[in-house]
Amino acid sequence: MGGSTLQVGISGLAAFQRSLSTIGHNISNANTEGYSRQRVDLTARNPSPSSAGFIGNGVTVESVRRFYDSFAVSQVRSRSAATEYFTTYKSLASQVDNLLADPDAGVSSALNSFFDAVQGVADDPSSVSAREVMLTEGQGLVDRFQTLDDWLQDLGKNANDRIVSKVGEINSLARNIANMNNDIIVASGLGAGQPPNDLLDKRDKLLDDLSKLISVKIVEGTGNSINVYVGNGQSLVLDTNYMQLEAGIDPDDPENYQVSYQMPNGTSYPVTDTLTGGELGGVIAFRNEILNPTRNKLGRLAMGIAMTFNEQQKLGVDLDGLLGDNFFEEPLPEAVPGVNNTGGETLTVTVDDITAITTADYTLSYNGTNYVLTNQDDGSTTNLTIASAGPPIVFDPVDGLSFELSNTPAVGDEFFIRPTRGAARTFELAMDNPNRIAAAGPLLTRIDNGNLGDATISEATVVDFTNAALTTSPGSLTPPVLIVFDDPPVPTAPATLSYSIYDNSTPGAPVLLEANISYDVNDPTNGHDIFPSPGGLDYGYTVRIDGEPQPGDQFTVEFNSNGVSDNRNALLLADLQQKGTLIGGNATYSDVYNEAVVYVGNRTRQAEINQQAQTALLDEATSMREAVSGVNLDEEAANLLRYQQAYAAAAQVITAADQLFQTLLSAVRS
Amino acid sequence: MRISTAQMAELSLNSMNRQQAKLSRTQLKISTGQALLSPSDNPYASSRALRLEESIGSFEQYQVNAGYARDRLVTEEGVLEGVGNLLQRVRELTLNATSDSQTAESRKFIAAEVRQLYDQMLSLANSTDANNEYLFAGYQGKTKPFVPNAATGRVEYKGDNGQRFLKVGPSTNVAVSDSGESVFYNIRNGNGTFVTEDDANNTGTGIIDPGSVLGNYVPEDYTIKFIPPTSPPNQPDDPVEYYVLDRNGDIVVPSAYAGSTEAVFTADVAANLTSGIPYEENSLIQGLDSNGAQVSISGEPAAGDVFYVKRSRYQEVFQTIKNLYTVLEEPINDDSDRARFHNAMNRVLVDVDQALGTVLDARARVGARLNITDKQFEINESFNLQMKQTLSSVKDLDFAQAVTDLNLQLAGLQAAQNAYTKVQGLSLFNYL
Repeated sequence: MGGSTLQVGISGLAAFQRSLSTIGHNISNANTEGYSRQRVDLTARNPSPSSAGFIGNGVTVESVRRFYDSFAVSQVRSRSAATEYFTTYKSLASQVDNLLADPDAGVSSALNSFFDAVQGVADDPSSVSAREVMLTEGQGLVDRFQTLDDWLQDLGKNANDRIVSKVGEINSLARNIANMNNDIIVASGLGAGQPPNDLLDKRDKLLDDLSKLISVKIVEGTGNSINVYVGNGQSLVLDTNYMQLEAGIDPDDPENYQVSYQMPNGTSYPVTDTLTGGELGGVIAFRNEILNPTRNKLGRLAMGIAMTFNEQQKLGVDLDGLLGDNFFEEPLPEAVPGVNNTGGETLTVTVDDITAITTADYTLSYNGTNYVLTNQDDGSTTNLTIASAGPPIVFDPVDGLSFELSNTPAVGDEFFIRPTRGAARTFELAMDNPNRIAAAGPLLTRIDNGNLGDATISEATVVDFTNAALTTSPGSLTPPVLIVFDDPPVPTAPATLSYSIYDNSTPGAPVLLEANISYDVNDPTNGHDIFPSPGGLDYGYTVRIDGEPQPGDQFTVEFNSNGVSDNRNALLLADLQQKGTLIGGNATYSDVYNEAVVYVGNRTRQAEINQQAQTALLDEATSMREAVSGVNLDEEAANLLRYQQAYAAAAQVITAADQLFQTLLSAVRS
Repeated sequence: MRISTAQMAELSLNSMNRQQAKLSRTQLKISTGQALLSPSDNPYASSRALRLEESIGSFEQYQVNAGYARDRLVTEEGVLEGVGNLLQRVRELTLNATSDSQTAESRKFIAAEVRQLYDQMLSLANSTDANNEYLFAGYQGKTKPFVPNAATGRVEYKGDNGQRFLKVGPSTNVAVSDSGESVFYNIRNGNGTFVTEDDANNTGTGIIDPGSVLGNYVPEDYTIKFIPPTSPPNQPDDPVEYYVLDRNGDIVVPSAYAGSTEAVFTADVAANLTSGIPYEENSLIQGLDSNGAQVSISGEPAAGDVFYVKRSRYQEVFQTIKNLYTVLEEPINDDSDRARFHNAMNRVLVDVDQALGTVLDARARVGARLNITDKQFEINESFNLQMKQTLSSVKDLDFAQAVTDLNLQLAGLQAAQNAYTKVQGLSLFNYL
């Protein structure tokens, strides 16, 4: 029975030693990331039966257990995935955000300077220096777009690099987790069912790290292993096996890298847009929600400025007396056939109506019966209507775009259309000669000096600069027109006057074009608008006579050949700054730009708020986990004291057992 | 709740980081003086700020334009003033020269001055602005607008009727030029509606007045022909008679013959079947009167004399001045020459008045435009000020607020640091 006391004491000593070493382990790992505090579970040994009842046999170590709350741990993981997501998104987005509103880098100030220069030309149209300034400021505007776009492209490249590096990290983590699964299975076997706490902690740490990169779904596997899934349920780790992701060029959109999932059988498929959360998700979302939309928005603005400004420029006349040319190069929509297409057809996309252009990207696919246009922004689809069966096949415009396919494609072929993506990059000045700025109006109207009546003729407004009257012989009107009120009039009642239209190419010898068009002084709709005439004369401009002419009165319309002081078109060009020419004809240039600034600003702000919220939630979840698993040194100190004392006490038990034995011995001896 | 030691350190650290981030942001705001460091600070306000900046930029350009407009209008106004003064001098000379007390000699002196005025008028009409562009050439600023044609003896207008506008406000375009055509060239002659003329071969001393318009003038060209008295009994003192033809040569009065040809009427007169309308000095010519033209003839027209009342035509101011010196240089030998002289001088006078009226109108328009420009300038200025204030309220930092924030944040950070060092110092191990 003395032996039994000894045994009991020894069991205490051993148990407390274990406990003390575990406390030491805890203290040593107080600052180890991912470490869960451990505790030795002590339990009383089975008692020995006796006639007096059961006699205790001391203590035994049942298990070394880690403090672990799987709910708290999964909370921490999902929160850190969200926090990393918003942190990454916000830090990338705020770079765009800061840039767009920067007075030195944003488009806004360049746009203002450019239009100030246009007004400078309107102030003094014959001044070559004012024109030079307008060209310089035009170049400044173009440069601003290009610089911004270059910078956005750089951000895109950085995003690509980051995707590659993060996918690499994910792959190595997946490999490590699979290896760790293996170690844990082996260790569990060796430990005869006892949990390999530190290995589990290490694996948890790997999973924590993985969660910072991407949202994962973790499912318990067999024999203490775990399985990890990403995206739409693609398995990354299955027991001791791991799968890999791969980042690389998207052949259908080379500027945006894609992530594909590699199947064990060697094939792969893209999963980019299904990957959410974490740093990788943040980069992908930034690209989809900020970067590409911003480039599209800038592109749409560049395209809008180029097309509307050119249109007005073409309605004017330059210092050399010629009709205006393009001031800006007009960017063209991008349309590329899919790499997997089996047919060799090409798609040409042109802008039909600049006011209807959206910032979306599109896919056109042929399913054998229909040509389906999918808007990538909202996923809506439209079946294109064939306007001309061709070839080439011409379709009715959709969203301001015209489509023309070289021929019927193979079934399943796809075409990727990015109408505005590259527009800011290809936005260029088309002009280097300041004299070519069309500040003047193209036509002049005159009242003949011999007129007796008080009728006036309006300015002639060009509505179609492609009309043969203006294009046949550049720098002149074919034909210059003479309008003569018939004397005597040959009107149709109720009109009392009539006029005839002559070709005035040879002044003094006019050639009749159309005779006896009625003119009613009292009815402003009867005969006052000269073109198109009742007989169908149409020279691409409109002009109007008002008031009371006398028979014999004459009016002429001729080309404005020497109108160096004419600023009519420059004023109209300057008006474009305040005119709603884009997005349904309601938005000015700066409206469109502001919309982009607000778009990015709002999203950045949202990301910032979310980041703060998620950080708070992460802190909370971390506290919750730490409350269970974290090492508190004060607590360990207290336990240290406690087990030290217990150890001392157990040693005292051994001393007591020894004294008992000695007492017995001395009793025998004496 | 258990707190892990590492977590406690981490939390304090995070909190200090956050405080520092806030502090640095406030510091940045104070050092830049801007409330909005990036659009995401307040997307709506940033968009507003961009818009305001654009408007302010536009308004500043409008002010530049208004300055330009002002310069051009003041230049034009100066020239028009010169033109007005010149025409006023022409008018004075016309009135002086009309006086019968003038001799052939003195008329010649006047004519010489008028010739000089003619040249001056030409050079005024060909004035250029600071950029060496002709003021009155319409759009063709590099083309000399008024060029005398030696063959026809008239001044030709080489410009056009273009008018330049400048944008001085968001929706205010102000005209900053007038074409030479509208100022010097397209001036109605006569009284502006019709012009009265005598025939060059008149032998009597009839003088036709420039007439006036009453009621609704029916545009028509009339010829007034005088015939010997016909109405019986024929006395030597009987007044001459007249009839009036329209531009087709048909009779207007006597009204019994209205619409008939002249031949029918003269045949009947010859046959003593009818008579013309007896001439009465200074009374209105019949037939014209009922068509809105009040014209009378004074003096003694002779039978066979002819007068015309025609619709007004455009006549350039140069021609008017030229007419004056031409008339003044004609010799006056007898009463019919004198009548011719007076008729011509009457015409010159009304033509000069028309030209003066046109120039005064033009000056009034320029004055009104200057007014508009100045008003708009003031409006722009106050608008700009207002927008700058708004922009400042949107964009600029409230320093009092920011400094208060800074102090609070500093205090917060210091407190966090203090707490950190104190809490970290606590450990049970210290007592073991």
